Amino acid sequence: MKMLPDDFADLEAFAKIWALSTESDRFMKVSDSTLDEMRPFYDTTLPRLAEMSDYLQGRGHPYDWAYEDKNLLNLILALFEVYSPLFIHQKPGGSPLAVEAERLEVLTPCLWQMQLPKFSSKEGSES
Amino acid sequence: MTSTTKVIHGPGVPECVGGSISVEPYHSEESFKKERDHIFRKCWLNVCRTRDVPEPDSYFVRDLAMIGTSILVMRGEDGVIRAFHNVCAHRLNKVVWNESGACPKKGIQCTFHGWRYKSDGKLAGAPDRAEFPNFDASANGLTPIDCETWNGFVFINLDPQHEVGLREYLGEFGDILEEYPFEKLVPMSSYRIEIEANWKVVLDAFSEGYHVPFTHGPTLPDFIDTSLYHMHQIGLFERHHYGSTPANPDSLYSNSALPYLPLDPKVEEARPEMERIMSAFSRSNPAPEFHPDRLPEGVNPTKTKRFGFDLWTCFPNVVAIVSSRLMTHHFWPISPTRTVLESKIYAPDVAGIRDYLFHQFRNIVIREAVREDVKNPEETQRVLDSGARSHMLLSRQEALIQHFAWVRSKYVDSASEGNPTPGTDLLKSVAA
Repeated sequence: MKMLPDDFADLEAFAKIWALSTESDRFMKVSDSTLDEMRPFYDTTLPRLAEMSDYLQGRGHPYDWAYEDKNLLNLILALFEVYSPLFIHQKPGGSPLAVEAERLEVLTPCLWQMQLPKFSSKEGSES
Repeated sequence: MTSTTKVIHGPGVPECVGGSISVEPYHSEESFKKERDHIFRKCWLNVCRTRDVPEPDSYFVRDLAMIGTSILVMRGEDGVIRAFHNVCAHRLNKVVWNESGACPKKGIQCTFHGWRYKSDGKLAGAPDRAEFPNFDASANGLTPIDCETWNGFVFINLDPQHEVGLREYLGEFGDILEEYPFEKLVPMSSYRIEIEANWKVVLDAFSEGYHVPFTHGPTLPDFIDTSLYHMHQIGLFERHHYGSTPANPDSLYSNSALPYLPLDPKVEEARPEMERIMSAFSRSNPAPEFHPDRLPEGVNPTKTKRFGFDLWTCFPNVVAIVSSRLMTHHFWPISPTRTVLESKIYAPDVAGIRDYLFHQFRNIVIREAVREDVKNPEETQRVLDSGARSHMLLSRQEALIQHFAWVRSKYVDSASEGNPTPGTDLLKSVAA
């Protein structure tokens, strides 16, 4: 089954592994993955980040997003998860000075579960 | 490096310029029981936010393991928020078992024998009531607890004879942050962890910036360094305190919400990948009321450009990191050596997807810093019983810890005459 919008069909294989639906799941996945598993995902996906962000910006309010749009956001958020182990600590599980990842309960709501009265798809005018 | 930290004292508050405090309260069963009885059973405690009970009949449950009770916060049909012991008047069963929900029109029902209560706490029904001699429904509602709100935060007080109302209790914390737009902040990220350490060992770890370059150096590479951590200003009051904390205003992790600026070349070298990620979504402008120049007068009191955040402790168990954003930490004692930490990161109304991605990238890294923050306390607790040291040493930059020990001893020792906590004599020098 297709997971991502057609514009990002080339990232389908990564989506099947990384586009997990909660921060808790993504955090656990990254904590249990090797740097060699994270690296191709990061290197392939990062150059598409601006394009992915622009695409989602044009998709209206997250409450109305399609399944594929939500997976695309989850893929971006998984990309953020691999940044720290890959580039800051160079080890799976992140900081050696931290308590074990599995002990932390991550209760962060998904974007489409948040109260977002000011959310606008026209956002982006920087000054 | 000479400290330029300015310290403001409320009337009668000791100087707290460094010294030593006893480690005894950090691990003894006796101290823990005193704190339970003289602090947590006496002080106003923030148990949730008003948005946790957004509509009539919605409820929120806060278990207080230390006290051995559960608090049921409900918004009545009249819109008033009330708090009750979550204890059935019949055989004292816990009435509501989940964390939040809506009270049905017929009332919430105790699982044991089906007693039902309305969202104002009144008894709505007791099966087979004729079998109870002289049954008085009005005397068998849920047991009320004093409950007041401030700026979107719901507080309870378990002492029916408490000395002061919430607003007076909050004192300078309430005065200085009265105009801060708490209600306009959206909860974005939320974490919970049980820590094998005394609640004060954990809370102390969130009460100074001295540790940041060492504990979080690699994780927050451009946030702060060993030349930058001294607090700009410290305010020490009757119960609460703040430390206005510096940060590199260009840092991704700074709470300043200043426009994203080009970084120092040295810092750029340390985080090229962060830059690659950040280039995909510019930091959007914060909501106007959260712009650094428009925050209430008491926030960033020295008006420095190197403002990170004001680190407030609302005694006894809340740390609020206040700037153009908000992070809260609640420290819930379980036993003398176990604590639950709840951390939440809030942001001004999320304006769009770029804004959301900016916050989430940042919050994920801050989450890693929180995992680091709770590691040292566990290792500290493991050796506290060793007897290697009877006191811990504090610098001027750890004044908030020293002040907290003073406030704690006021509550605990004033109630235990002739048996003061060892070491508190060191805190008796009062500021002129």
